[in-house]
Amino acid sequence: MRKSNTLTFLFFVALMGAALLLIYVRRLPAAGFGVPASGGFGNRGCGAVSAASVVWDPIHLAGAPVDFTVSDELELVENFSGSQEDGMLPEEGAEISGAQPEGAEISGAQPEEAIGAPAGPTRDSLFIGDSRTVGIWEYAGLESADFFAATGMSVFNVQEKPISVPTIGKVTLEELLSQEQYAKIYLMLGINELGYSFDEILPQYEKLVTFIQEKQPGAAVFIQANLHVTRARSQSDAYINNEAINHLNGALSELAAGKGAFYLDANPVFDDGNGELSSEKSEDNVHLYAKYYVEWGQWILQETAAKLGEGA
Amino acid sequence: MDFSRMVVFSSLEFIGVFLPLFFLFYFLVPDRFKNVILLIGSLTFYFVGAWNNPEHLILLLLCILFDFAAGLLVEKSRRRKVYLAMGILFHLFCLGAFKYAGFVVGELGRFRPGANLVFDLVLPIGISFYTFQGISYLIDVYRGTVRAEKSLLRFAVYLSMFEQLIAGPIVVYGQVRRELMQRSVRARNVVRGIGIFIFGLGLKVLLANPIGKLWSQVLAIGFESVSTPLAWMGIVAYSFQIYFDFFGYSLMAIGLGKMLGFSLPKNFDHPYMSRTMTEFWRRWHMTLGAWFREYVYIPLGGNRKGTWATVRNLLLVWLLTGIWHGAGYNFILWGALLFFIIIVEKYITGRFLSRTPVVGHIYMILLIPLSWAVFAVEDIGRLGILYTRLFPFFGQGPWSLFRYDYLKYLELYWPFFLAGILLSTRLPYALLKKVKSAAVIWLLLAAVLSASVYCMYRGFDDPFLYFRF
Repeated sequence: MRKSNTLTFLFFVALMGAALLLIYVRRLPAAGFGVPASGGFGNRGCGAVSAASVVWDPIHLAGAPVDFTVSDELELVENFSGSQEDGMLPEEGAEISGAQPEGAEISGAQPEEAIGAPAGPTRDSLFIGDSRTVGIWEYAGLESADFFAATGMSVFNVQEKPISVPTIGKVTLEELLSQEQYAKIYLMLGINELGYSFDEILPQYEKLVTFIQEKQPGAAVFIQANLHVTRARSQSDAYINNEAINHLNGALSELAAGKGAFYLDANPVFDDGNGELSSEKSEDNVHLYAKYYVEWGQWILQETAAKLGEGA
Repeated sequence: MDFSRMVVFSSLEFIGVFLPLFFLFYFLVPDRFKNVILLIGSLTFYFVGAWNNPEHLILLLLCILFDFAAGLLVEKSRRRKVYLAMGILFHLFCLGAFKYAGFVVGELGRFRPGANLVFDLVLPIGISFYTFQGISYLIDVYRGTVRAEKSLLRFAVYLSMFEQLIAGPIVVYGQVRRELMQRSVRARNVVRGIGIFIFGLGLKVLLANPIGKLWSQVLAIGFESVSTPLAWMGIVAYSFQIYFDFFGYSLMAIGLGKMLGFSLPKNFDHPYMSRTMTEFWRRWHMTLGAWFREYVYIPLGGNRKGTWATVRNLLLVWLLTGIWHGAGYNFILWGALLFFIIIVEKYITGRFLSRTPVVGHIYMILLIPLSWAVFAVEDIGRLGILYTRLFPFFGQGPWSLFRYDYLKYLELYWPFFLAGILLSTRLPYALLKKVKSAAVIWLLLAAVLSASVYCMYRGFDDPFLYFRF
């Protein structure tokens, strides 16, 4: 009995020693014991921008700032969308989009201009984008716009995924752009791509813009800057951080200039003083609260009017 | 692999690395060394889990040593009351310092702008649970219901056993004393334990996690922008998440206990089938309720000292239950709300509700998500906004800017709601018991396990999954 107590006690002392050593080592300036935020996994193929979430976990029961959150979500940006997921298989999508019944009819019965002018725009505006564009779709109240948007959308998959566009049906981007002519096309992609190198993203982006302009020669194309993420996200993410976003946005503004497209940057509207998405405007550090989409939509309309006015 | 995730049972690190390695040793050594292996395994588990805060391991070890010594003194010494008080105060001090000091100091700081008081400590894993186990042990020794443990090894195993260290069940010493001294690991129990573990894992990974996403989405949209139906779906989703997460976790602990040769107490008994809040709390987190009854309510006199004393005792118990769950005003509010409901039931509505099942069930089906909402939303102002969306009698009406938001999310989440409702009833468990064929059960469990592992793998493989946020 006594012997076992002594041994256990010694074991405890040894463990405490080990713990103290660990504490000491961690305090050493050069010791690289910290685990990098996102390990070393590349985020290729992973569609969605994610977000932190307050997920309950038994450990959370124990109280406030627990030092690990277990079940932060996989692909959280289902946030504002997700129903489109079923269309991810191209075969399936093609089938369905072939069988779009009323969509085409309804779109035929559209604004007056569509009737007599085959070459002119049949519809007002189209937004192409990822989950943030889905947010605009759902909450900004832009009634006259069409949306080709889904969570996880990126320049790499935007031409493959069929999307259900209201009053038109389930179509691929190419089908949509062949079928309708838009006066304005807004493009906002890039945040899901940030795990890829810029050497891959930018040429693909350029191809996409070229493709859109070829298909819609009469449309004014607006490339929108990617919205920043909050400081909390930016600091803890090796890929999706504001430095990368700013870098990408800079390249996009050059791309827009080179392609004769307009560049819109809404970041000043939603940033805090430090050029990061204001943490008061987002729960998940990536997406705006729904109420801000109204503001965003109005801002887009104003900017559009201003830019088109300048152009004319 | 990030090994500090190992303390989470539903992680690949735990299931794929710790579990096989540990049980390999545990099953191979003769019975008399099983406690040694269990202690080494548990402390390793904690050490790795607290890798970023090694001082937490030291705190756990100190608590073990302190309780062990205090137990012996409380039993033997003439000043046993003093030692008991010291022991309890020590635990409360540790819990207070790590769990509540940050909140209290922060709030005090508000009154003195410019003082800039910051006292932010990371909460040691499992401290709320092992603190309560330590206190219960000392009180039991003092009362003479159990003898003080003479072996430091056995006592250390009691307080640190990995399967209940992180999230309970809260085991009192008397429940496991004999198994600590002598237990035999039987193949039958091990197999059953594995089955229970897998079932619990499935509830957590395949039901609680996905349905919890809906709540996250409601948060991300912002309460002011959700329609009334979506607001209700959100709090119902949260209710299912919190239940199946915690229930699943408790089952995993019980299953692991069986594999180790312990029978741990049951923690949940179909709480969502209750007809009153009073009944609910006899069926929800049962070991916590039992703890408060045994070590707070009854010592204060329970219901034997007249109405006012009973009300006072209940108020204390429910406020303590509230703040045990976390440091924040909403937890106090939540505890007060439970107190209020339970008092009303005790003196007015309780009898009627229990005798009229239909009314009782409807009452609880509304009250459960409404009370969890108070638990879930830490900011009282935002809680108010959520409530105005749940009951849209003023202002903007029941709909949101996105008119059919609830249909979108219903389409996405209905299978999980359906599963949540079914698994809250007794039906699936009764059906499972009727299945006589072991092959069918194991086929089912194999399916649950592979689906869970797949989901965990996807989660792990996802670079957007963060440990610390």
